[in-house]
Amino acid sequence: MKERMITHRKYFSIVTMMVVLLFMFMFTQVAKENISGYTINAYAAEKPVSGGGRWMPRQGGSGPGTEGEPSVEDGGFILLFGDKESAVGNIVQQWCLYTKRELVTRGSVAGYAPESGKLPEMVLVDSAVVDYGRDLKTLTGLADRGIHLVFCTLPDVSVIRAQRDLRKLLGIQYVRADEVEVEGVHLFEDFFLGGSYMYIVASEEDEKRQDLDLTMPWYVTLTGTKTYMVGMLNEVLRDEVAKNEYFPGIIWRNSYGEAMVFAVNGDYMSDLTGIGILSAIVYETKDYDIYPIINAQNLVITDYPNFSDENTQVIEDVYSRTPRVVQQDIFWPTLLSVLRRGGWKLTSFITPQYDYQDEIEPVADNLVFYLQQFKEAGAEAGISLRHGEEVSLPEKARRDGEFYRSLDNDYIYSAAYIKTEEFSELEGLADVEFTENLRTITCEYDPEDHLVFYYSDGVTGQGIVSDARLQTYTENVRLRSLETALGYCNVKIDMHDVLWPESDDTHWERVYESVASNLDTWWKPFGSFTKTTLTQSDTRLRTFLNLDYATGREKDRVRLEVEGLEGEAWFLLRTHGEGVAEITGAECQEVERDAYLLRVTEPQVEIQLEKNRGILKYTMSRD
Amino acid sequence: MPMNMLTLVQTVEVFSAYLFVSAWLPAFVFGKKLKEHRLIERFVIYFMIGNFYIINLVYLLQLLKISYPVTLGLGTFVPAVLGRLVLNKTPVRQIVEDRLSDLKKVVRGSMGRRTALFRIFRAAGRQVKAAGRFVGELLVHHGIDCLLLAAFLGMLLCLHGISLFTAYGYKASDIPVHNFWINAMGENNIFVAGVYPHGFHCVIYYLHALFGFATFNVLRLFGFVEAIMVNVMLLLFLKLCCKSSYTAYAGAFLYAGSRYFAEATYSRFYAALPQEFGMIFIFPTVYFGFAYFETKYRELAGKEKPKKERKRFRWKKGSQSPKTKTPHLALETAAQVEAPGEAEAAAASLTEAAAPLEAAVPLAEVAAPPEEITVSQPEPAVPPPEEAGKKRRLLRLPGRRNRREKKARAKRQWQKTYLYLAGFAMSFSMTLTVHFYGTMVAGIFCLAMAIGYGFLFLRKDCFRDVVLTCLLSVFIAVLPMAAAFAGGTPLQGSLGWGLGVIFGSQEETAEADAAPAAPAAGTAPAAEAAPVEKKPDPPPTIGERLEDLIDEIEDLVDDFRTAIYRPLYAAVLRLPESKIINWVIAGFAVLIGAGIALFLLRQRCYGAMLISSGLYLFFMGIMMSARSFGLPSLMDTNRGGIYYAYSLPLLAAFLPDGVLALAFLPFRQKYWKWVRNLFSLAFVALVVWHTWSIGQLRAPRDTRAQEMNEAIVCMENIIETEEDFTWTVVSANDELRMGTDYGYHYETITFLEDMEGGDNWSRIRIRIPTPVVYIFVEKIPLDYFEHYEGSGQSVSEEGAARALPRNSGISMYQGEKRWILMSRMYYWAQEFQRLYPNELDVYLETEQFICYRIEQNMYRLYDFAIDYDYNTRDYTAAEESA
Repeated sequence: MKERMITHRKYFSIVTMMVVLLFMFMFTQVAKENISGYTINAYAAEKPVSGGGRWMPRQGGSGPGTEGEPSVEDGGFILLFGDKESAVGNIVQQWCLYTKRELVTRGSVAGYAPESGKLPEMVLVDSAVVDYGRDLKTLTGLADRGIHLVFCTLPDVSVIRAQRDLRKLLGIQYVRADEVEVEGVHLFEDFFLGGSYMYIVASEEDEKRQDLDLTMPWYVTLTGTKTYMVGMLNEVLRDEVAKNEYFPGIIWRNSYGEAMVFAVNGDYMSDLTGIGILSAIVYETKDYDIYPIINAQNLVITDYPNFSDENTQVIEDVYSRTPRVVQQDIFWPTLLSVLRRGGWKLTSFITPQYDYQDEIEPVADNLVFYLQQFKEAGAEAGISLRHGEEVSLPEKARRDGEFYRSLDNDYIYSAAYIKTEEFSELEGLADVEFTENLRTITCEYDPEDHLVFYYSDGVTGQGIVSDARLQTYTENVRLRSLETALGYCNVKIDMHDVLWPESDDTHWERVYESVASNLDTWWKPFGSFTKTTLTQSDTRLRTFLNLDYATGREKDRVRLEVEGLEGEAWFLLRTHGEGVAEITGAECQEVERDAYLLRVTEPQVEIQLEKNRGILKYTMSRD
Repeated sequence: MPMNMLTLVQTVEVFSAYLFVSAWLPAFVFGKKLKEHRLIERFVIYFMIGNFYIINLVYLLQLLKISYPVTLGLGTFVPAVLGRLVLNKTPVRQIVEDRLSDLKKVVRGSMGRRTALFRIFRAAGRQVKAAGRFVGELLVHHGIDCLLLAAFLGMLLCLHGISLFTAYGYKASDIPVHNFWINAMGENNIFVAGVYPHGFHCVIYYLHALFGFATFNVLRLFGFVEAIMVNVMLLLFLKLCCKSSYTAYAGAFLYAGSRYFAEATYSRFYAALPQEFGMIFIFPTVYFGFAYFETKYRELAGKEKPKKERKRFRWKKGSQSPKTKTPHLALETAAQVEAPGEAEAAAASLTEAAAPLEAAVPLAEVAAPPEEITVSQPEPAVPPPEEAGKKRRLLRLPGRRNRREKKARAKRQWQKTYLYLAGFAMSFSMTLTVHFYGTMVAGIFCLAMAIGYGFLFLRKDCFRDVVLTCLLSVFIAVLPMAAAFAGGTPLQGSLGWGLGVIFGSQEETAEADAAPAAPAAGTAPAAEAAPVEKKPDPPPTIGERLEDLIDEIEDLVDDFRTAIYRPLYAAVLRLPESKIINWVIAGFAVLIGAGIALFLLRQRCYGAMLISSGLYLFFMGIMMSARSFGLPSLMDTNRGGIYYAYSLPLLAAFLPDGVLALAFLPFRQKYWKWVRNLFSLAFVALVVWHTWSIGQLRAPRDTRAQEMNEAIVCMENIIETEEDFTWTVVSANDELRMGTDYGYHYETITFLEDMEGGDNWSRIRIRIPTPVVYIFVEKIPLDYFEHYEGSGQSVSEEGAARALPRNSGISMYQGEKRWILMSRMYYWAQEFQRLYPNELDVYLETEQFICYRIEQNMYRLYDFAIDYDYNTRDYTAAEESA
């Protein structure tokens, strides 16, 4: 019997198909390697704006304890009764810098007598420098003249209890208790961006998050006040007071004559949360507010990837793989899924090695893989300057430079990560050839410094404000505050702990789980802000720090004039029940109710507002 | 969308929905059964059935506590469909099988889709064609009627429709109360304020529940529907009763379009009120009464004839050929042949021949007694004696057939009789179900009818039927109320008030007081009313005695006339010259006279109808001035005036119609009928022209609602745009019940009183637990049923500085008190705006009104009790001095 043979035609067809398939797969891979340009950092392609043109306060403010009159001639400045060097002073300074407001600081209230035409826009009071027995009249006088007051810190409860006029000024009806232990904190909506949130312990997981100060004096506020944040009472006390309106206020407002008096019961103004609080307060005092923001959401991963097989034994014990394989085959795919789900743009601070004395040298083979992956994922590679005690920063930079040069590619590493405590060592890098392309440096936020700043005219500093592995309630309040004030966040995933695990909590599966859930949860309300790499963020930051602006409103038309605009700048428009009907010179995107993100491309912007709540569907017929 | 457009859309929706359930659905069910009746008669029957069904359905479901949109829908449409299928003996199974078979063919492909579609469209086309033919015939045969009807409806639309667009709100003070009662029905809580005739409320609730209209919208628009239906029902009644074709229009026009009537007699038609709704059912009650007697008369005539026939045959057997009897024989033979009610046959033939509306042959004519018609029959030849036996044989065979036909006709006659009785029962029942004043008026008419139709009414079977029907209708109307009363629900207050009016313990209403100050009823004819002093006379002679008797009768008549004159002058008519009122009164007598004349001229039923109408008009006059006759006053003058005015068109239509009937009585040819109609048309033209020439045409009334249009616009918007029960309106009283199904209300006075301070001010807290709060403030407060010296003034500090009024109820919002409240409210809002500049938003502002909108955090409600200066002042001294 004759066996059936494949025909020539079929044989030819099958071969052709196989060749075509082979070509298609190979071609895409070859194309990816050769055409994608992974050796180029696209984010660092343009020359950055110099910090030489940064916005500076005209008068610069007076030093602590300075009794001199403010030199601001046309009013509209911020007056701080407090110590410039204090935590509150630092926050106020930062906020004034970011919102382009002149700040005048007075170490004491005594002797202050405002002149007409030189009235401050708002007076911020740090109770630490106020003698209420003596100074209350001055403060009341300011309020009588329609100047808004912000009590960044409140005096001792005994002072408030004793002084009726002070209570009236603050909108406190009576002091219910000198101290009360609350169950949680309720932040109401329309103050910070991100909506309302109850910071209570509802699950075991929440116990790790709850780090807010839950002990506070219990003030019951007066009629005519509006409260933005309250302490939540436990069941017993809740039954006792019966109504939510008696819950202890944390941030509230009292209308005093034509002025508004804001009070912050707690130390929220002592850290970065204060920046957002001040922005929100200004918004509350006006029928609309428009201010510049950075609009950058950064996710940085430190010490990843690492190109040497350090700590191999431990890693193999945990993952049954060598460190380099674990990073490539386990860490990266899972990271990629997180990035894609949240739309994040990663900035990965790579480090050739951490231990420079173990004689295990880094292997550069994998770097190409990572650069290609970063390119595909829209991520950016930066350098990690974190180092152990056994090696100095310049030495590390020199040795790392050799490693990078060995690859012979043109990738520009424009972003670097350094630990806060090592920040002062940066000066030693001036002579290191390898760091000449650096334009932005990130490190954990230092409470004594600014969050974002010019390190030099060519280099900016960007503080890290969150750890993606654990978002505590304090951090979340701060996050909301910063998103409100700056549209900015810088979240870190520290891989050093994962590669040098000290407990089960730093194993990747746990880290990944918490990172993924945190990023998906806490940053979700801010999806309208742009996800950036650190270099992209740097570009926006420079524009933000350099520009100046003025704004005004005539009926429903808001005008915005921007000075020092380079390319594009970002502003946040907040209204009370109004929406943007028409806009010229900028593009507008709704962030949430009554908050609009403006991408300003022209120096002059005109915005036509219209009511977006309480609109009549049926009109009077003569309309 | 402008509010006017919304109002127009809503009016069309409400009117259409009401007509759909009250007329179209009954027509859908009973259309085939009643096709022999005239179109307008059918419409009246359908309308009564529809309303009766709706009201009693709602009553039933409410009392069973299962009144919901679903149950109402099931209770409406399921019986309608089943009723139609059963009554029409529709072969449901066959139809379903046919349609399924068609469907199968389409599915299997043995019938093309295009063929199927063609069949569907062809069937639809046939319907459209039939409808077109119907309309065409209507226009051809009853063109003038259509024209006059269109003009009449157009006039009504202008007179009553314009106010819908100039004043959106409620136009009567008691509508919020009715609104409250209807709202309670939404929770199956009928008689929430006590037992009260709820027919009107049932209809409004039904429209709200089944069609989803907001109750307050139905209430603010239904006045228009009522006004149209009241006038249309009057016209239809007159059309059905008059012999000539057009005199009805004269009566209806004078009532609806002239200014001969006091404003108070029609001003309430601009509001949706039960009393006016009840008026719709008065004349249908009367019509069904007339029609019943008419049919009964024919039925009796049909029953009596066989006796005569038997007599005839007896006589024929006993006598060979008495020539003198021949004409009678002939006449009776004719009567026998046309036998069981030839008038009915004539009516049937007319109904079939003519198109429905004319059917334009009026009731009186259709119902002409047998004698009249038989007279015109040609005398049959008397059979020769030798043919008598043959004749008997010949008569026998057809006699069987005749008996069958007779039976069938008798059955139809019986059905008709009881149809009218049923109609009477339904409409009379509804007068009581809706508002008992209407029942009184209908009852008075029934009394007049009992006299006018006494020759029938006093017959045993007729008396029994009528009395039983009356009792049944009262029973039906009272049953739900009695059931509720038996269940422990007390009587509603106004029932007590009504009884008080009857027994004289209550003063007349405020509206009566507000009526145009008429010169005391007999002020004009004071001389006539003055008592005549009589001097003692010597013993009278017979002649003198007779003279005295005549004088006494004259005095009696004069007193009687004066008694009727008084209410007509004071509360009903506004004629150019008061003496015309005397003519009107004389017209009552003439109407009775014409009726008697026609009765005697063998126009029994028509004559009786005129007599009844004339008597009714007299009785109404007597009722209006019952106290003068030593009788209990059944209703106050103003309310009675509304009904009296509604009755006078009977005079305007029946009097000329009766005169024409008398004049044309001898002329029976068809063309004389045309001449008579021509005269009636001329009469209508004359009435319209005269009314116009002396400037007595009624203009659309500048009706003012007791609520600002802006408030209604705000309410519409709030209900439409806000989520249910997430808002509160702080306003005066009218909005109190409007939004009950959707949100909350806080009365201005309560709101202000709650924060009225003194020493304890700081302890006062007002929290409104809804996310949104609306505040209504009238910057120029309206005059809520009370005008005062400062009417039209704006809110001011002066007003706010006055102590809050301490009245109770609705008087709080009247006159100057409203100004004080609104001034306080305005300055409260100013202060609140200072405290919360970004939180308080102006929702709507005009020169006279402002509405604020406040959004609040539900976790931290605002304290609305703020110190706005005026509430913390001490008003003790001012109050004491006041």
